[in-house]
Amino acid sequence: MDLSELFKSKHNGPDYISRKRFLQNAGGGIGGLALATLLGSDSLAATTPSHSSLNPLAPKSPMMPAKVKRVISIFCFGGLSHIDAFDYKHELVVKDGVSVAGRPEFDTMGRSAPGRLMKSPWSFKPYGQSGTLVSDLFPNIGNCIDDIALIRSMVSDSNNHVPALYHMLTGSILAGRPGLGSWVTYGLGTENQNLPAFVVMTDPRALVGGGAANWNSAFLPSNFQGVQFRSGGLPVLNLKPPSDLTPERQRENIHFIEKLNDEFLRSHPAEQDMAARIQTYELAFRMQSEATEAVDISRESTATKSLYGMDRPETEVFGKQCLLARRLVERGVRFVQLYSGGGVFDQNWDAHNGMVANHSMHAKEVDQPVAGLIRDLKQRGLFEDTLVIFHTEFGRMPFTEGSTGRDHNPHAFSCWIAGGGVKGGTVHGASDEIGYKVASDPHPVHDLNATVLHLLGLDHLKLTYFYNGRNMRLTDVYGNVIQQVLA
Amino acid sequence: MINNADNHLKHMSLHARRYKILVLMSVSLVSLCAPLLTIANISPKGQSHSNPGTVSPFDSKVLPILQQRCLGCHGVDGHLANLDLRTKATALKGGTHGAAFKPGNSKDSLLYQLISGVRAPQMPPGGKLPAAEIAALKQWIDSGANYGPTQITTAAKQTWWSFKVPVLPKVPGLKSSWVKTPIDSFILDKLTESHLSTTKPASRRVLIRRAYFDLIGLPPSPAEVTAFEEDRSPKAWGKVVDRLLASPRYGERWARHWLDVVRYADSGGFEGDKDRLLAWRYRDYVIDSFNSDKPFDLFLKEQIAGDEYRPHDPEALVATGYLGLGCEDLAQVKSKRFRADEVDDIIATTCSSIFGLTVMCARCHDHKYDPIKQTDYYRLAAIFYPTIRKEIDIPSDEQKSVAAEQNALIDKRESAILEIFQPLKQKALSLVKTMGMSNPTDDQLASVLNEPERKQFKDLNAQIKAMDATRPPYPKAMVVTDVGSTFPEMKLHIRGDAEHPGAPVKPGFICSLPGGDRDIPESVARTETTGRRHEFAEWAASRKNPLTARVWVNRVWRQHFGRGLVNTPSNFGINGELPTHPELLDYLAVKFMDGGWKTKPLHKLILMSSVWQQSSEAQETSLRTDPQNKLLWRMPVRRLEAEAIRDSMLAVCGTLNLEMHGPPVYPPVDPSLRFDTFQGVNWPVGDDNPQTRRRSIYIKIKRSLIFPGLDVFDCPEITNSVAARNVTTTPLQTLMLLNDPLILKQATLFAERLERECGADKSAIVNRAYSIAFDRPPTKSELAMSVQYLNTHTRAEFCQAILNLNEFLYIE
Repeated sequence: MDLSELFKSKHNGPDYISRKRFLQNAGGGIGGLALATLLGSDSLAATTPSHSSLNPLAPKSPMMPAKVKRVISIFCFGGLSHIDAFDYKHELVVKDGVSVAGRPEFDTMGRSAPGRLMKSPWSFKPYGQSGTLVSDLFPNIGNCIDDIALIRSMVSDSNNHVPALYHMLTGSILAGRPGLGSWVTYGLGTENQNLPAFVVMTDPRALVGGGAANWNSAFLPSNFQGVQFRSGGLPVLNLKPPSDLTPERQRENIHFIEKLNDEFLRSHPAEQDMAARIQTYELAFRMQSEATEAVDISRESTATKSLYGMDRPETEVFGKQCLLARRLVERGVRFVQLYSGGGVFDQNWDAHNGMVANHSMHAKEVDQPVAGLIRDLKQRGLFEDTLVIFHTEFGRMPFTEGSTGRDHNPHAFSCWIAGGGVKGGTVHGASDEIGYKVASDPHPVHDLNATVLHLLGLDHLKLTYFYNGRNMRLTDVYGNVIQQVLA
Repeated sequence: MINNADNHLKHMSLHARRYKILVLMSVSLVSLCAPLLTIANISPKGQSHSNPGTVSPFDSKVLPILQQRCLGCHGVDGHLANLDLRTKATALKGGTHGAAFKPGNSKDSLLYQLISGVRAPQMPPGGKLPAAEIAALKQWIDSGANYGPTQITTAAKQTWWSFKVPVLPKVPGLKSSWVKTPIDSFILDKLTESHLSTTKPASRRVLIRRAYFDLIGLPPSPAEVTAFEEDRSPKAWGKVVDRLLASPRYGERWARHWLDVVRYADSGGFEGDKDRLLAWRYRDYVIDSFNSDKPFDLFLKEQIAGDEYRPHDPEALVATGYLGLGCEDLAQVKSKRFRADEVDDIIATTCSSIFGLTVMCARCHDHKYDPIKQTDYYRLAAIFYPTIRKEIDIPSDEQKSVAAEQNALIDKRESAILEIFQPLKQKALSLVKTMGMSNPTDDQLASVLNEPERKQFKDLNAQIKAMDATRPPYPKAMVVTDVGSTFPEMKLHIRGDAEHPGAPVKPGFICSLPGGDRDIPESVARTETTGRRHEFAEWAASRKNPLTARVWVNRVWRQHFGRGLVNTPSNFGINGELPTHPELLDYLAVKFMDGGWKTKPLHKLILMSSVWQQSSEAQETSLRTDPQNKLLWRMPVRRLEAEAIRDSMLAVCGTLNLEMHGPPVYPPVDPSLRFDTFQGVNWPVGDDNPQTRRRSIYIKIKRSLIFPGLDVFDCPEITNSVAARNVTTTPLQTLMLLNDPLILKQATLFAERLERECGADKSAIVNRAYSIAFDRPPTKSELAMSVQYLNTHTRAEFCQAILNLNEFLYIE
């Protein structure tokens, strides 16, 4: 017997005081008034038609027709070099080795001294019908290029990792703003209440810079906070009951708690928060089994696992995370965020000390898994209403730092999106002939975030939360939807 | 094309630093203001705060709407579409699209057409106004669109209620036995006006529990409740309140509220999230200040300028730790812009926590709503720019004399050794020099000596080092002071960009506030500091400042009633909410200042009031009229904060370690979590033991790893000032209460306590558990259910259930 079934059936026993009945009857009574208060205080309720529910994470209709229902964000922490990956620069081949030292137009903004122009150590090939050039770092992603809309003209406001991360992921270079996934779940709720709405998986070797502030709900209620799935042990903290407690016995315990809580609620019928809290016991109980099941990949076929590269040591870890991402969105999780890279120096894409060793290693880890994810989403019919974002905090310089490294470049870098509503095979925007600055269609990170919200049916201008004297937005007071990448 | 991109990037960089700034055309600014004014439906006086009798209908009804909704773009700070709505004449002259209105005819008036949605675009751009406001404007136009006597200029904004110095209002003379304190008069007056009635008094048990949680954040023991229930003297209640206010637990509870406001943490945030190993001294300073009921004005002065008030007093120096609490990106290049961000953080926190003003909005341009000029911002910036963090010794006089004594002894003993050691060292040094070695280590020095000398050198050196190690260390503290007595001239940053200096500004205050237009002269400089913060503190923490006392008493009120009289505790500006009881707020503020800025009497006044002593029972009619309980027709039921939940749990289980003060403690966290932190070095491994079962205020606040037991119950990620915590209900909280090993352990210890206290008898155990946890006996059915449950379940399981109950997490 399925555990959740067991849970339900026991609940309909004779001494079960029907909270549901209490809530159903609430329309006219005192509870209903309190419920109205609760909904009235939900600032979103004013702009978005929402399901009547005590649960702030209940699914909500988008503001406008949506192209996708869910998002998988893949973030390359450290600064993926656009000119070595998705933005081929012939001019760098021509001018390879030309010194730019002391030339004021090349500025690392107080970082390392510019050395000489350096061509990409990787060769580029055209892929797909679109013939977009992709480097040998990403042959598998290259093979998906016709499903991808590539933006080669991203611009960041910061040339330092953590502020740039916050900028890309929360819309502000300073900590203290809600993450992209928090805004999305605030706007849309989530489909499966038994799993977290917004799941984050970080690189198991080290945490991404800036830590939880990248997915914190900040001033939004903490229901919308990203839940970090642990890289070792249980995916969610405290997910597992004590080892000596059988599910049946735990259900009895919960049932006992509920009975006592119901007794107390009867003398406090207007307290909707308490009623809502009683409901969380059912959710928590089911989350134990569902979240555990969601991360159990033992039933995935060998073919699926190797599609994600789980059969090779270098792609095993990220492959598993990509596979988990698919399993989670498949089960109704609204937003999944994966991080490639953490910690410092070569633990992430921060290739100051040499491009080849650093980017070869990290690209090898993600190329097959990400491509596998796209293929798997397609073969399962999920691709049409899922959005995959492949982003990073900034690009890297066309000239050397030291002898073979590259420093941070916020003036121009590349990101791509794929999935429902996305015009696959597009290349939009361009950097200049050496990839130092954007040459056409510059897009600050707010534009990418506005586009993500747009695809989800959320207007970035209207998705607001009143805080600190004004209506806050993910895109602050900026942001334009990048129409050119939309199908 | 490259140039274009460059310009664009520059443009974006400017914007990045204006992260908190309101931009004129932001289309969504207004849409969510809608719920803020609904109290006007309940309270006809609404805005007419100071002197209802003399205020014109325009001033009371229309002006606030125009100010809040329209004048930001069409008047005070700009004339978008060439429209200026500040006077009837300019409004009739109209803008690009013609006259704003036709007096007497709302239907044909542009203003009405735009706000009602008859004509596009919708105004205000962020969303339609509440129906009541549209109706008010319609009525105003229909009755001739006459303006009031006051001319609306930027200067006129000074009449915004919170910018006027509070005067003691008359207490409404109500004849009602319900009125026990002046607070009750003000509350009852409003309730009567809205045809609402009060709720019966809470039971003595509920009262004393409520007082314990409010004041010390811990439940009373059953004996304390019984004693109070049995003490029928009229002074019994006052005694309970006094006892709680005198408890050291009070400071631990109330310091935490202040730490939220000043965004206290034990680490610096950003990439490395470096530990601040001495930050706790400031936390202890706050605890002690609350416990000693330090006058609030002095408390503020010490935090802003303790080094200037009492440069040799450790307490005052530690207080300045406040100025260094902000996040610090150690990886960031220390550029002009970086420093500007740091100073902005100090200005934002200081002004929102003390004045309830969003001064940071004026970093790039004049504030769009409040009368705060961009120059005001840089006048304030000039005060904080000279500051710098410093680690210093803070010995007390006693420590100094003890140290001098001990050092003299050590010096004496060392001198004998040094007599032999010094010649050896000299010899080694000269040998080393001939070998061309500079800055030799001790080992290198030893290596050039011959065998017996080498041994002697090493032995003596070790002895000296051992003796030096016994020299008494002075306690250290992280403080903030100025870099010197002078500082380069401050220049306004054009559009908020530190790289684009504009006109010079003199250090000073916010000009539109009373006494705020004074420049700080250079003559105030001290020997080592500029003296500017001292001047600022004198102005900020003074009776003449209309905001400081109001903002603080409102924070205290909010903590007792779950909502503030001004329900935006850190925003008393035009975009904040209006006070529900403006006269009461002023009464409390003035009395607070009259009483020497003491917070404890304020608590007592509140706790002695009938309004605070009401039951939390909800009456259907009142719920219908005032669903949010803005007028306080009952006491709201409140969820305990994260710290109070954990502390109460430890108290009930009999394991709370009440040791005070000192470096933070690290209760164990799930190993995976520790591993997942940046660079994996954040949280030391440790056991769950009595040393970690301290009150939650002593738990390490690591910005990148908030202790999960607190995090899950909305303990904030502490980057910015937190005016009011969120209260959420999530299944993750429930998973924690069900499965967390620390909580399971507490349940076991609770069970052991019960067993010790009442043996194995099931009824006795249930009765005792309810008594300890809830200060009441179980009901008949609770007892029956519990005893039956204990037939098949362990006592620890039963205890865990008790800790899971709503009654444990909510204050009635």
